[in-house]
Amino acid sequence: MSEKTSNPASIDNQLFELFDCVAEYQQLRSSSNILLRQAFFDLASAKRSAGYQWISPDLYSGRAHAIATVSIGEEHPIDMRVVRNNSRIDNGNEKGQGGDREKTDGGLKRRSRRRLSSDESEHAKLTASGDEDEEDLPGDTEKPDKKQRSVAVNDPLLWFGMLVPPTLKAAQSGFVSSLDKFVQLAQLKHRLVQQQQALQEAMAGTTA
Amino acid sequence: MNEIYFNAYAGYLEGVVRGYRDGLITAPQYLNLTQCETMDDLKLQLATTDYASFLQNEPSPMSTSTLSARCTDALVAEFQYLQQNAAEPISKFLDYITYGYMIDNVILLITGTLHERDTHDLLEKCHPLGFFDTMPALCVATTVQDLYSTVLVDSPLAGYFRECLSAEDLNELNIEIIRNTLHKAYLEDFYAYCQSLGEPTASIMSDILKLEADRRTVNITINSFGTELSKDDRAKLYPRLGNMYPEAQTRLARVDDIDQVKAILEQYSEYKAMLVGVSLGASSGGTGANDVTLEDRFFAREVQFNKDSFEQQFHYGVFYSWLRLKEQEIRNVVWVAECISQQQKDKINNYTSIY
Repeated sequence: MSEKTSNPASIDNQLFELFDCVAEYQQLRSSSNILLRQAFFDLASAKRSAGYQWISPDLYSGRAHAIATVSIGEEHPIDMRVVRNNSRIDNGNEKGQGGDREKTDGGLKRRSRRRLSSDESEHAKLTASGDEDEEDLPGDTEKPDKKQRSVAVNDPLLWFGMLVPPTLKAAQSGFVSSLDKFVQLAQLKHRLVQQQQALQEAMAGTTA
Repeated sequence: MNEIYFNAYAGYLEGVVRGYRDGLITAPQYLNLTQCETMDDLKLQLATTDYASFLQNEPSPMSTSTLSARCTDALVAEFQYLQQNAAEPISKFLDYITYGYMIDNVILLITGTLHERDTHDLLEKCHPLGFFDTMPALCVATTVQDLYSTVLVDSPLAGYFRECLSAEDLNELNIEIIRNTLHKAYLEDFYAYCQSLGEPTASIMSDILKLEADRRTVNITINSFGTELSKDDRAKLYPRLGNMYPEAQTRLARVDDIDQVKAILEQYSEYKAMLVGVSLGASSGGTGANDVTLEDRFFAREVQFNKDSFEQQFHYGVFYSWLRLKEQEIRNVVWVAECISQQQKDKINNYTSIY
């Protein structure tokens, strides 16, 4: 008798939770759609501004690799998170995930070494500027206006040059932000399916 | 006296380019394009334009990048017809026009090699108007000195490289500096050459090239915010001509944000009018249906100068103006195509109509 009276209430609660989850999913999907739509529009604006030859897949790096990945827990698939490999070089000392990396040189030596050694990792080859490399060159003196700075090694914006239009930066920002929302959407979808299954089981139990 | 002899060596080509000008898409045609729902509709509408033969064999659905490439092919075919039928002195003027594309190709090849792209792919992506014989050898150069001594010394760009030889390694920053320095040297050289041609070419091209210089100055300033480019390096990239040279350029070299750029431009009458109603923070094409950007205003002003160029006869400016108007037309068509494919119909009218 007490089970029959408690089950309808718990089913109602499960149903309300499911509705809340659906509403949250729809809201997140709507916001990510808006973000993506604006990002693609900004990309089109950037192409119009800089020229269709300059912002195209033709300028993608041949050694491009993912700088953000999504890790999925083996035991709990709902445990998804974005892992970003934002390696940064600060005055020639590499910091970031993966521990210490081999120091690299500028464009000239980087190209020569790659021909000689094919065993270097892709991370070891990347460098954002030539200033850090001057420390490796014998006999070089420091330039008096050398700046202390930290630069993003893996920024794909550099493929299109240093002076890219602001719309391209806005597009990149939009695409980067939308990745987090996609992971949240996947997590919500997984939770929705679980809640739906639990609700169906509960309803089947009351009708039995 | 120029008028007497002009038709003897350039009259036919001027007639041809005026015919090309008449083939530009008009405002009613643009209205038809903006009402298309799909890329297939757009392709059907473009069948009545000069791009028909270049688009007819493209399979559906056609992408915007393909549309841009085919429209560029049409432009290249028409310009190469002019080049093939030109003799001195008009051939030299047409050659000068191609130097800008050569610079872009050089930078494309250097950048692609730096990023380990396939050489064959890179050569296919180069602009046909900027092709020169020693261009494929660019892919083996590793320093600026190599670039100059082995490849570019015998090319038309040799003289523009003098200011670039101080750069050492070919990294992203130096390549950008080289690119803008080359364009600066090219613009100044082209300006001097046009002045040597005398009137009316000198005055017509002077206005157009000064506007180009000013546009480059503003774009370099705005695009350099938040980058590694120092203010001193920024100032060195500004062309030494234009209405902003030298006073406004000196001030623009020191600014840190877009509001300061606007404050400087407002002090010049020709640019104050351009800034009315402009949303400086908006992307090109506007974030809203009626947002206008500074770049749109520069495009519109450039179109006006190039249209005015056809009001006079017996000068070489019509060739340059037609090319720029054609490029603007391609920009417009591809913009409309992007808005159609992205279902952004509220922003589809943010193009610069020509006629």
